[in-house]
Amino acid sequence: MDSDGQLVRRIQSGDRQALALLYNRHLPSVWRYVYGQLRGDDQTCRDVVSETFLAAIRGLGSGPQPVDNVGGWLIGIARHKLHDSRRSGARQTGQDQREVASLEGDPALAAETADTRQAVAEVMDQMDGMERTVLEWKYIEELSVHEMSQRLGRTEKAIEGILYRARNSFRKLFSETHQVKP
Amino acid sequence: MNSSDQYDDALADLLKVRYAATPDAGFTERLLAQLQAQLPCRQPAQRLCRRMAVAASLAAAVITCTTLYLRSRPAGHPAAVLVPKRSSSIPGDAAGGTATMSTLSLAQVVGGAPLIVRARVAEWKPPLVRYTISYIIYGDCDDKVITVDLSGILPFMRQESHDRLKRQIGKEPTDAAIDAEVSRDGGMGLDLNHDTILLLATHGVTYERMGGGYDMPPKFRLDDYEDRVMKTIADGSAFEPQPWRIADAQLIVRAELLQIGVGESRWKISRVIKGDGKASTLVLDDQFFRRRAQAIVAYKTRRASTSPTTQAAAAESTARLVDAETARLMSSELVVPEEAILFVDQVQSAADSVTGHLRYGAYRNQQKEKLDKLQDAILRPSGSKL
Repeated sequence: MDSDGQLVRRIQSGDRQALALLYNRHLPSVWRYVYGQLRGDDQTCRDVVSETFLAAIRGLGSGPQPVDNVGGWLIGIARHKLHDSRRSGARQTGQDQREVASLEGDPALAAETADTRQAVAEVMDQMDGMERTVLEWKYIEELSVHEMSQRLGRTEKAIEGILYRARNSFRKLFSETHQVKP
Repeated sequence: MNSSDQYDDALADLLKVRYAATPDAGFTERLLAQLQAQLPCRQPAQRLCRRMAVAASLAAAVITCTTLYLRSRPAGHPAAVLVPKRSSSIPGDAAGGTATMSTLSLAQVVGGAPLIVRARVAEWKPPLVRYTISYIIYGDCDDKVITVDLSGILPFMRQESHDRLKRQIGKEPTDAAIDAEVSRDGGMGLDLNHDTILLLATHGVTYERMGGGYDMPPKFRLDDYEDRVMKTIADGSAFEPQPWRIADAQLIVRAELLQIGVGESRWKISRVIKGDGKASTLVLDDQFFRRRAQAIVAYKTRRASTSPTTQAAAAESTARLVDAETARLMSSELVVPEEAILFVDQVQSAADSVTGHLRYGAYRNQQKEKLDKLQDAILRPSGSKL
């Protein structure tokens, strides 16, 4: 399995397959991040994610780029694109409102659900890029430490260290922003 | 279970329930197609290897479809894969609408597909699908059976099927169940007997699916879809150049039409936007119009009548009809003196001129502004802050 850095170098030489691999590897994470920040506004999410990857691919074509942490780099671009989107008055109607409306029988539960989702999104936004990436890979995509080490081109011990710090960071940030402890 | 395990479980639940979200496969593949279109051509050595591999495979008579496009297209031409937009509940993709950053219009997808066929699934052995061609809608293909490689999108189809099954049965589905679900409801009509339209690009000796649809009346009628595809070919909207298609062209110029001759048009180059910029005259062959004319004539013949007598008569006059339609397209779309931005491939240089094959063209018509905007977009594609 090629590491992110190896894939980036292949992409820079025009390798379409490498692009597909790197894209498939990081799209879910970028999508989740943007989706969370936009509170489930699917259409704006599509636009922002598209712009993020298009900017990234142009960036890769323009010279050396930070290949050490591709996930963090992409989230950084996404953050800029989100900022641009918000500044231009993009749609802010979101899933949260629809969720509340669809759970009229239990508005308290719906509100709590939306609050928790927002809190998780905020925490993930504050986390270090690498820590966020491994946290998602571990708990959402259920990758093994070995798989993560291959993707990132690091030792398994290093990944375990990042995971340990990621868990602690999440616990600390989440408890600061939300009452419910995971 | 210790507290660490409990914390892990709680964290997993929290992230999965409150943070997990996935884009639909249609969006995913369209965006990948756009990204791949941005990639530069490969290095010459890689290009040569690829062509040698293709030639070897052809010689071995493995799954082949020797299209004119395969022989002539520039290396690195985006050959992207698109799948139906799953959330649309319509068994066709790029069904219309305007292009946004995340959605290609039908015209844009058609413009990127050098081969469009009507076909039926003959065999489905993941990741390869063999289709039997009923007829060719646009492009050239000598083979009756073609192979489409779905390896680029199969992971998404499997993931969607996995998630859907897991929701339905409440437990982890088996690989066999996932495979069956992909075939049954993978969004591409892979179960046998669906009449299908495929928008294809070559990828080595197999094809990649750019888009398409399958017949599921009354929700989705393939004849209507074919009408819409043909409209984009006939009116030329499929061949409007897009800034993200610069990899398709060896040469992009801004030029003024000098004259239309027999089987060619001559242009005076005012600015070279991409490629070598020494020649002052560009000579384009009429392949661009002739291929469209062939598609239009064949389409009209299919729609006109199915009686054997009429079909025989139509076959006899096909060549004449194609010539006439080619001339009509050229005379109606090219008006001297017209300014245009032209995306050209198969480029060959002569003393003071360059010859080539038109892939996409934007014409000034009433507004010069349109060309200026396109030129700016090609020259400064970034526009974004990294």
